[in-house]
Amino acid sequence: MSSPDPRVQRATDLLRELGIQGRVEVRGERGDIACLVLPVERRGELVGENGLRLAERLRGLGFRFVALDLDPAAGAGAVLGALKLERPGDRK
Amino acid sequence: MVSTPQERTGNLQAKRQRLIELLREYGSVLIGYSGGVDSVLLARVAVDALGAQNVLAVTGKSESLASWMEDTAREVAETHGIPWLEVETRELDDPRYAANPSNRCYFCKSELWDRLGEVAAERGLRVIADGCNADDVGDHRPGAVAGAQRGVRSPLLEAGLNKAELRAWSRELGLPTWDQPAAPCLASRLPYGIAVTPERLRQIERAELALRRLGFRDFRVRHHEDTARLEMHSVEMAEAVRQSGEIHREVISAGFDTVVLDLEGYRRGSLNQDLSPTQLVQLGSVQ
Repeated sequence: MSSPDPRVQRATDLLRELGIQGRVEVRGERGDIACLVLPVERRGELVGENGLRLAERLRGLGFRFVALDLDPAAGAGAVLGALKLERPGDRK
Repeated sequence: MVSTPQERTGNLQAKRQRLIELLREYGSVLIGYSGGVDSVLLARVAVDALGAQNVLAVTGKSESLASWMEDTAREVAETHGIPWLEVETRELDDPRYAANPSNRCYFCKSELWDRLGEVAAERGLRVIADGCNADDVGDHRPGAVAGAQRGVRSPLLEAGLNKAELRAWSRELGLPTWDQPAAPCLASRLPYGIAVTPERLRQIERAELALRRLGFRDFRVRHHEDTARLEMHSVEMAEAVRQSGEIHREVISAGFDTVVLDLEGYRRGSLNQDLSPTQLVQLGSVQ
């Protein structure tokens, strides 16, 4: 049995810190895509600046690409709070 | 130093004149013609400068050529009086190409220019030219080495014309390609190291064709084996999320298990971003 990918726990913690209670899965032939699994109705919030800032932070955990799962059934039932994406300059 | 509008106009006219002079020096020319902005403009200007009897635009046809590019190439040639020929190329039969190394384009262009060289010799055309332009300098372009080794000329580049200037000129000439997004071959959607196969190229083509039918225009379907990673232009991202159900259904039916939308959108050359300096072959460095 392979050990869990430590990047997933760190990415999940980051989402939680930002108020996104979604799930992170690893995709791609080299395991270099962070795939965010969110309910359909919340995906639009990650388009634009919010998504760019989140992608930058997740790439900092060792992923090469950061992407949203487009499966309509994926992420159903996840409960999300308000997004709290901060600008890089806001970080302490 | 900032140039005045008059200086810019004069500079542009000088570049256009330089291109026409170069073509006249050639006398006759065979143009590697993909149906993209650059090669279409070059072919049209060459016909004006040399007469149709001294120009042949040739498209290399293989599984890596998207059907919509082939259609554009043919239609523009027919509409604008450009003599056109399609020649089959067999780059997928070359294991060095199919293995998809970072210099994959070198093997593809070697095959293309060899085939086009045969046609030029048969037809008595003196020069072979491609559509590289001034903005291509500095890009990762191993294919340019194959052209340089075979004496292929790049008159748009030699005249100093950049992409914006080529688009503006195309618009003036009524060419439908003037605002066409960049359209490299389908193999460019595969990360280096994932073998180029006819089946994978068909998956990519089918998925991209479906997205075009849904109204999207500037995007790439990156092939990560089971996963399709969509890179959409920033202006099309919100619409992609709105149509995620349709997109998911269509891309899955093209043969993928998972469909994901890259949060950073379309980046030209995104699969080149991790190449080391020794792997990068830049057009400006080709002798």
